[in-house]
Amino acid sequence: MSFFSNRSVQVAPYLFLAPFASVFLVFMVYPLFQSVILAMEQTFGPEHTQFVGFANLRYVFGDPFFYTALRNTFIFAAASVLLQMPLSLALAMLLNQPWLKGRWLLRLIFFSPALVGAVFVGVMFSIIFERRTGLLNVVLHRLFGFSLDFPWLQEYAMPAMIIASLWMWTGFNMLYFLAALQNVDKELMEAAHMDGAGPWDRFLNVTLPAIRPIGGFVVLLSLIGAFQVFELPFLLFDGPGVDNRGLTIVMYLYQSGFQLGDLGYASTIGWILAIILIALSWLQRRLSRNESYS
Amino acid sequence: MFERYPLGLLVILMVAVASAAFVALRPSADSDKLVFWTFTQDHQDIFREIYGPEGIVDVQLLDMQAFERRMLSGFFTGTPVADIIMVERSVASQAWRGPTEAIGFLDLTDRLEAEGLLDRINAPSQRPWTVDGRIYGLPFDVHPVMLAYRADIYDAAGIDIAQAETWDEFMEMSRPLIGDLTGNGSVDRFALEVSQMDGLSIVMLMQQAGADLFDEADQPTLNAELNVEVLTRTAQWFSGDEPVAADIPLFTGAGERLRGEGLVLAWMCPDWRARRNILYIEGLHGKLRLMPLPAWEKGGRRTSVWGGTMLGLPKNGERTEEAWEQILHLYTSPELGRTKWEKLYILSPFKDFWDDPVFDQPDPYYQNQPIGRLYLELADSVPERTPSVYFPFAAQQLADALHRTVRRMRQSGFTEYADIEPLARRELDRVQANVENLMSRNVFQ
Amino acid sequence: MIDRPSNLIQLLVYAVLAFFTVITLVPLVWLLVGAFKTNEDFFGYLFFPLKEGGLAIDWARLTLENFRGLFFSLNFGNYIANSFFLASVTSVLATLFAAMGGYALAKFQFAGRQLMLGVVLFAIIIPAPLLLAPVFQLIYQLNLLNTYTGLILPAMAPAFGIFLFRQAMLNSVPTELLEAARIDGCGEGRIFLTIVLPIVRPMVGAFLLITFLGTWNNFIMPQVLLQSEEMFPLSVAIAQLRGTYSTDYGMISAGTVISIAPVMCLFLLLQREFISGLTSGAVKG
Repeated sequence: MSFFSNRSVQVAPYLFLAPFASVFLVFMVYPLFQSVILAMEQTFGPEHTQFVGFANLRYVFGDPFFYTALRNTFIFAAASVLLQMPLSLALAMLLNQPWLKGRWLLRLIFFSPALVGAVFVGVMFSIIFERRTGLLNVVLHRLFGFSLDFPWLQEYAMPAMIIASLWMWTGFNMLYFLAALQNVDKELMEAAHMDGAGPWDRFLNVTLPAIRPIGGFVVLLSLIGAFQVFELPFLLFDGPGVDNRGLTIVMYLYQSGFQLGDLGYASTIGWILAIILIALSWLQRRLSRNESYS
Repeated sequence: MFERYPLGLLVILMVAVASAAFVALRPSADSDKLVFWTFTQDHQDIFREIYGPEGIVDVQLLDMQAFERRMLSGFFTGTPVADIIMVERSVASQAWRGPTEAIGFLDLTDRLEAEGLLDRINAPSQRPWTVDGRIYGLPFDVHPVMLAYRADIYDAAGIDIAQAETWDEFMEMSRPLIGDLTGNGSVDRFALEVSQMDGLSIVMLMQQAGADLFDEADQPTLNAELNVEVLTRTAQWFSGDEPVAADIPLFTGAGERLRGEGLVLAWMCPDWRARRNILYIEGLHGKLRLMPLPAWEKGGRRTSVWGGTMLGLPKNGERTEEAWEQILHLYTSPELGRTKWEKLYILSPFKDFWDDPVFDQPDPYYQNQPIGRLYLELADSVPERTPSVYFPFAAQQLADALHRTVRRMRQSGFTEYADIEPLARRELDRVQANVENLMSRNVFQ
Repeated sequence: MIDRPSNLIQLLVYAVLAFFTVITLVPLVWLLVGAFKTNEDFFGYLFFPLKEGGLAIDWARLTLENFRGLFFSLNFGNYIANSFFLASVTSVLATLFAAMGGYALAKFQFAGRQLMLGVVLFAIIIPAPLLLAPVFQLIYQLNLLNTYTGLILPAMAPAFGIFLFRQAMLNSVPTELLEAARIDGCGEGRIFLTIVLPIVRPMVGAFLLITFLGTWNNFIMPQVLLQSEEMFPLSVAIAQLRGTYSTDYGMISAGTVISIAPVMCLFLLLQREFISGLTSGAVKG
């Protein structure tokens, strides 16, 4: 440990961490304190503020739009993750077949929608989903005779959002599962095969346990992302949509803070979102810990 | 060193250097011009034409949502806003949500008085920009509403639809022309466009009936009896197997396409929309005509109001006097009053312009009707527009109320007025409660 | 070895994959074709405009008019430059600082190390939307609204990156090598740049691309912080275009194609690096 006497070695880590530490202090610690204060204020822009105490908190729990946003966000998060995970895993398993040709190309293709930002996906799908003229309705009509007038952007705003997010993220999550599948013990798999275990048994008893850690990580990541969804519905419906069917928590935060100028109420909503997300992370940790004990 | 670092780093470093050079070296925007914000492409085209590329004004086009956010952000924080702000009323009103001293627009009352303009302006045009007796914008318009209808189709069927005095008559007379014409199982022709996505349709119908959404003191009266009746009857248009009303997008390419293809026989058409028809539905040249709106009751009001724009100046603008001169010119010059009609189809709120022969010119798109005059004949009965900052919220809520009423009506299979009315009433009570709730929260007013 | 499945099953797998390929690509192809169509043909034909009566594509009806409009009357060249600038500068800085921080936490023993590690994990958990309003207020107080500095500074040292780099460096960077370099009299900065960074090369490439992509596609921060039109990145510009040219679908498609194409090209070029780095971070983490 002789080199520890070297001054530069002692100073170096602090210097290396300095950029992060200063950004953290200025743009995270200070705003976090500020957001607690803001949550107890009503503002009209950053200049005009009025202390209201817990009025924001009281209001938010009686605010029907907040509940709509909360419900929509929960449904979206649950549905998109529930649909995405099996689909991503299935695609990954298909791609993982040793005899498959063109795996490299297919992986790239499935992954490519994740490169398109949510803003652009929103714009694109807002035209695709249009009644009577949109690509989806026209194709479904010509192929299967479905109604041309199916209201994707109106009554079916939520399914439309979920479909768009499936298109975006399925391939992305597939990548993680593909990486996870490399952890599957090949010998164990062959042994199971020798023992006459069927494909389903092999999946349940060999594959699934091997990919579980990464699976939990991917689920958490997707849930956190889904709870913060904003750009997709914002562009898809050009706002909250008919009857607020596309209103999400972050969209409501944005509307309150930046369209109405009430940074205080926006902070209140932000804290509720933060609490939900932290609870989710905690829950996921608890679950994965319990599993490793069992 | 290159093999030590990823190719991506190299590429991105090159991009960083090149784009930084471009961003740093590009000439900054013309600073000697007055910046003029507007929110529709047509306005931008026309004002650019009026001012020319060398003119003193740089006309910029902003999307409504961006407009609202950037305008407020500029007012809040002192970041640059335009020198002249041409703004729709739903956006403008957001500026008076906070305390009075925080209103970002310049108070124009004294200037208007000094110029002797107040008496010349059509009174209803002034109300949306008046807060506590002070005026924050010059009204740009009157915006009477007429009904644009497919004269070619009605004529071919021998139906003189212009004789329809009430909405009931209009629907009755249109009935033979609508329904599933191609036999593909879905209705492909409707009588009237009524948006459930945009509150403007239902608000227009309510205002036509005479119901004000906010009273004189700007308190919401959204669940007034008259509103319940209008909502019920409007919802009824969507009932049954062959509804007479269709919900199509008002301002998108798909919407214009569907109107052009004849999905609807008629739509409510304020003066400015008469020009949009010409611009975006070329195929209907010579096929449309305009008539006063059918009234809700015989002898009732034959028009309504849709939209509203003001020209305002920012309170903290650096070039207020120059900008004031510009908007004054835009308003008081008879020549521009004429141009505004010829190019934008927007009636000037200055009553002394109304005698100008330009309004009597026949319009070939509308089968040579003198549509300027037709709109002017309705100008006196245009209902007032509220300046309430809660209007846009209420309008969106009303669209949702229509949507929900229609959905529940169809789920229950209702078609009768008496059955639908309770649904409509419940929705309007909810809307009223929501608006009251939101208003109760504002500690600044 | 597990046997190859029967031809029928293989065929089935290929069919399923082909189906997903089509679903994935159709919207993109449709968008690309739409960008070259007039507004009339946009509605007239789902994909390519066809010749009268036949099934042949009528190439002559495709047009560059949409792109011409975007570049000459709408300044899209400017927006592209802005996006490139923001994304590249942010990603280079963020990668550098994240690697530095990760290195410090992975390879040094110093007072406060555990605390800093805790701070990093804490910073990862805080959701970005919570900070939106207070950061806006702070940027306003710092007089940085409507500047690129106000956008880049808060994104400069992402905690997630520090965590990823720490995980990547813990085992892959041999401590003996660092000690040997120090004995040779190498400065700490040089050691970091010439020894440590090259070892975690895949991570550097991947993280650069992750932050580049994230910044390129970021909408809410520039939307909230920027005011002047000439400073807008593509994400904000496209939302604006959608609102103002709502009737012109050809133009909207072309604008979207322009916004997507550069990142697509970049990733085609660098996809191996990206994918391996992306997943390795997750697998180790």
